[in-house]
Amino acid sequence: MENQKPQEKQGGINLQLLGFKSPMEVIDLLALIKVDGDPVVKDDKSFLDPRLKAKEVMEYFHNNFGVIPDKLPFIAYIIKNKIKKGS
Amino acid sequence: MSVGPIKETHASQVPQLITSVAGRFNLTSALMQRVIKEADEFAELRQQGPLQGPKTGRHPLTNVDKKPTLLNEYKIPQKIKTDPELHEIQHREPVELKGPALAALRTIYGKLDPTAIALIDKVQDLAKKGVYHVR
Repeated sequence: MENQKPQEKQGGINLQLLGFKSPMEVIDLLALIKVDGDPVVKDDKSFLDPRLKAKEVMEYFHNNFGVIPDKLPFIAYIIKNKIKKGS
Repeated sequence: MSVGPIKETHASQVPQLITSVAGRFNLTSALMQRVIKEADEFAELRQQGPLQGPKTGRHPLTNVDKKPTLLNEYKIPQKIKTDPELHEIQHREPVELKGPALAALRTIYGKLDPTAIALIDKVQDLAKKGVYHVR
């Protein structure tokens, strides 16, 4: 039986080391955010379609903050930690 | 046995139910900018290597303070690690290559292998951080 190594996904980013089980977990977390009352995911139906949801999240961060998709796991990691710490 | 409200939930209500939990984390744009900056710094650190603090304590063989140098940061065979000459080089004060010396090195190695220039730049970066020694 092969030993399962942490998966290197999304251009070499090890999501497991960031505390995420899958790329979708990153999207799920970021999709729950509002910035200045403006929801990241605007179309409610996107919550039911992972592809649409991922697209909306990526577009939001790219259009509003100039963030490339590769950086999203790190942003999610920082936000997750802030939420955990309550800061 | 009654299943209560679940039975009464219509499929069309599902998106509303899901979005009712969405938007719980309301951030200001200033905070989001700070988060993005932190994420950038964190990503940069991750690209430089594994996340670990500087190695401390004393080397079991040489009995000198472990420093976060290239030789103990990466897996180098123990034989090389304990080579006295390499050890001496490893513990020299960092010297940064500049001006004509750097240009000459780029020219010489650039002719041999184009990727050498990238390697020289990498070594220069490491030298600036004090983790490698260039003579």
